[in-house]
Amino acid sequence: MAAAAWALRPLIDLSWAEWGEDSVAFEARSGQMLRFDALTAAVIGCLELAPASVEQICDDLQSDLSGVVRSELHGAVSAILEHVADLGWIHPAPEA
Amino acid sequence: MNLADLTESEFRQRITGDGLALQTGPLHLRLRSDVLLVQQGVRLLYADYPVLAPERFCDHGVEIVRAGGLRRWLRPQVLFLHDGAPTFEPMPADHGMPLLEWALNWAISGQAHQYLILHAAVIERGGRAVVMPAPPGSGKSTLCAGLIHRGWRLLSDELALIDLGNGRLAGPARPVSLKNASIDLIAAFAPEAVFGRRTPATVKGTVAHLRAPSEHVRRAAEPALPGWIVFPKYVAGAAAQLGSRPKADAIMQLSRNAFNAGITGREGFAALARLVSESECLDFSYSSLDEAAAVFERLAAAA
Repeated sequence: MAAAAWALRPLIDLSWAEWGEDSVAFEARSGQMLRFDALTAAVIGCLELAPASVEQICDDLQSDLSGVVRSELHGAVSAILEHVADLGWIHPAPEA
Repeated sequence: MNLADLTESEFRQRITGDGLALQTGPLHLRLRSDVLLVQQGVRLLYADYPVLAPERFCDHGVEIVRAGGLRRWLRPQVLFLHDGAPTFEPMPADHGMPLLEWALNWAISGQAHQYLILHAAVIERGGRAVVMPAPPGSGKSTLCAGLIHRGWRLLSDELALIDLGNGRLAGPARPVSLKNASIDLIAAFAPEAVFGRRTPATVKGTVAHLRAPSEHVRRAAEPALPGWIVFPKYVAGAAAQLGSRPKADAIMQLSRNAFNAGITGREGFAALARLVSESECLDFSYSSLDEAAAVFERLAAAA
């Protein structure tokens, strides 16, 4: 489901640990601990700062991902958002 | 004063009365039992532990008592009481000592939330700890029992206690629980080892407890810094071999061995992440305790 913007659900409380390309997130209220690659962690990190659309997330990440084609990045970010939404961590951002 | 310094009369009065208060490293335990086998087991296995004043507050209390009614005489049973209430299913009367140790593990892992508690053995040398998380049957207690007789200090064979404040590993250095073939294996590997009575036909097979070396008990309040996380696996015929494990893998596996991750929440996660960050993470397969000891010797020497 495409959303104009995505936001972290209000009750989600994340702590992170990183080692190289691997990141692990701990969600305090559910006790879930999940492992993510660097890109997925970066996408979630963007939404921890503020609600954002796929385009806005791609804009934020593009400069750090030299050589990545925009359309591929868009596809990867969209897939990541769908996955994280399935986890219950994000939802379409409420209208302002 | 240690438990061995109590007269028999003093010992029996305490353990059958308000309970025998003992210090095991950072933890204070109160043990109470009217079961002779348990009294004998405690007298032997906890001989080196400091006794506390009877009125001293204890963090964890365990009572092993004879079941009442018909089960006092016909197929007699023992019960674990926690705060006076039966907590586990009754067990055969001669299973009292294993029941005591299992009950203590249950009490500590369910209550000592000033620590992040992992199902893992912990040993120490040079101030640095090896944390060995592993599922039951992986050989971690056997490996632990062997290594503590080859220059490593016992912190725990079952519960890794990670201080939420400073990240150090604490250990009650309680008796090591061994089962089945491991008992004879360790008896041959360490002829000086002192064992309690063998209890056959428990849910885990034949169980016996190895007394912690006196020096380890004396130093039980001394914590250790993180050093290594080693995931052991006994593989028949395998040469002793260490291999690197990615830290993200290690923390995910450790989280599955955590008793109180949900209760300790963010603090527990932070402690776990710190432990992983500050430790070298390794897989270890072995079949020979001698070879395993040699590998761990090289590990300590390289630190």
